Amino acid sequence: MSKGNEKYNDSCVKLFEFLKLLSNGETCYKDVIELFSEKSDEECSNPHVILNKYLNTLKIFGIKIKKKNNKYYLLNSPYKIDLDSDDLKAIAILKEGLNILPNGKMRSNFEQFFRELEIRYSENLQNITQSIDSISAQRLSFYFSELSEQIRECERYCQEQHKLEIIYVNSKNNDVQITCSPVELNYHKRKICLSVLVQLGGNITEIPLENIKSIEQLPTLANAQKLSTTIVYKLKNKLAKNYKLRDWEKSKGLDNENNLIVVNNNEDLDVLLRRLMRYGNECVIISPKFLKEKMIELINDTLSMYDK
Amino acid sequence: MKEFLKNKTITYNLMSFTGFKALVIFSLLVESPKSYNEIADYFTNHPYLKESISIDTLRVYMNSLRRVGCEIKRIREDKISKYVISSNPFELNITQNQINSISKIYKSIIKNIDIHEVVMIEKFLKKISENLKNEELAESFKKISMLKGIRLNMLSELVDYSDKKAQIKINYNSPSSGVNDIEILTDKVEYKNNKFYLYGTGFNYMQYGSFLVSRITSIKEIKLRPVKLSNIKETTVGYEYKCGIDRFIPEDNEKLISVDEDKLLIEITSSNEFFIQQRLLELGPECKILYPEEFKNDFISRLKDMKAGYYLE
Repeated sequence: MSKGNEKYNDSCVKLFEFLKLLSNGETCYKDVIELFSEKSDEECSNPHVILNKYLNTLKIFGIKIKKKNNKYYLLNSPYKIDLDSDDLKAIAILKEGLNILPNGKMRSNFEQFFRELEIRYSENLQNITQSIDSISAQRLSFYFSELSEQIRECERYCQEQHKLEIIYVNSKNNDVQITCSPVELNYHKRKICLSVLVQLGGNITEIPLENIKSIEQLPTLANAQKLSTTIVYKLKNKLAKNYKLRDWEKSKGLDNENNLIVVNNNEDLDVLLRRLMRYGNECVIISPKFLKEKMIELINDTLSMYDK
Repeated sequence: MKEFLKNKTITYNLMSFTGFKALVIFSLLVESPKSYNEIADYFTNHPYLKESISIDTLRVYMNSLRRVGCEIKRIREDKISKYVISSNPFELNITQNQINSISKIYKSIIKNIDIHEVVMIEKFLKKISENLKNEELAESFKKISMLKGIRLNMLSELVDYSDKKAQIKINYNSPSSGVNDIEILTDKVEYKNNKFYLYGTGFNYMQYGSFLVSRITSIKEIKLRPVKLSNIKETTVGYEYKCGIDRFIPEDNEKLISVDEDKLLIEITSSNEFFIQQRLLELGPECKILYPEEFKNDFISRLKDMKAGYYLE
């Protein structure tokens, strides 16, 4: 019972060492036996006997351990996290979102975290988990759950970074074929788009997943350095004061007339034009020239709807 | 304990009596600070243990727990010494990769889930970050949150008030007019363009508007009996939209009137004409305003001003 200056208890230390080992995830029987084979003052018996003794102790205390294929799994930790049924619903929603991740490290990281969390649920919480899981699976019908297969595929393309050849239907209902580098998936309200850098012209284009007819992954790797078009625009009056920059925008500060100068590097040009249209006469594109002309064309086309 | 073992036909040799006591002490000290007397009483009244524990034995158990990585603190509460486990080896750990995965999932679903579910997720994330002992990772975990400086309690309250369509007075820090109190008949809270907005009818202009939640400094008053607004002037605009019915995603204030091959006739209603104008400007040449004439003329003037802005450069 005593060692050195400070008295401690060998059985107690061994039991908690065993629990620590189990807390790391799946534990091989061999590693467990090895732990109990280390001689101590009190324990001179067979390691298998000691193991059984500790398994009984944990079971009586209420800690559940499962043994499968010569491996031990801790089902509930001695340390609980104080969560409630709303937290379980939040977890169920996040798990539903997991459908979008392709198999791989991202997905296994997510699953690992929630496994570690689950073993720290209180007994009461563990009992209600299953009912919440089944309710949420029925209730949560995200718009994109129907597209989960396509989403997973596109997430994989974005990870693998090979060039793609895509055929899709554009806004004018025409089939378009492009060669491009995948950038990312953008999740909008009730719409998911694959954002790509088009090889010809170097523009970022957002393609709604439901408009994609086919994708072929090419053996060529995508350009490591993606150079997209840089757009500069100025925002005036109230908008200049209220504007919150997007993640892909930078401010160049205010000009002499207190207009906010914004630099945008990574947005689908058609999406950007529509967004800037919303701002009305409080926004003017400065460069590049071709986009400035496109904007004027868009305004003219809209005006032409009212030609007598 | 011995009785329990006898009843359950497990003999003393088949379990670790000291291990069981250590687990009991661990769970007591993790729960909250406990004095020696509280622990001794718990042992005496325990259905299986039914025996007290000496202070020296308790110290031996605490030394053992320290040895396996528990941090035990001694604190004074009401002049009584108490012990508490402030950290232990079974706490939740997280890696940066796990944080990245959760963040990615949350960002992907936030625009397609109900605002109540967003609040639920935010509360859950807050609890988890409070449970993480590694400060660096806890900070990184906090960044998953979409609140970006907004107080969670306030967002949750605004969602509740909007559900009840309550009339509230907020203190709002407007970039153009400074800090003001604004009375609003709340409608909804939405996450849009990576920001939270409170929507409702503002009493200052008597029209529907949106307020950035991050600019609301406080909720000053909640009116138990909201005023019935009768003097609100609403505008209904009818427009033709060149779009297949399957591609049309209506806004909350839009109504589909008729479908004619590839053209839809839609009515949009709001007390805020600026909101309607923004919506229709975004649709560009795919949309044509049919009525009312006054709104149509204002819209054409706005387009001409936009065009003029380019030729003045």
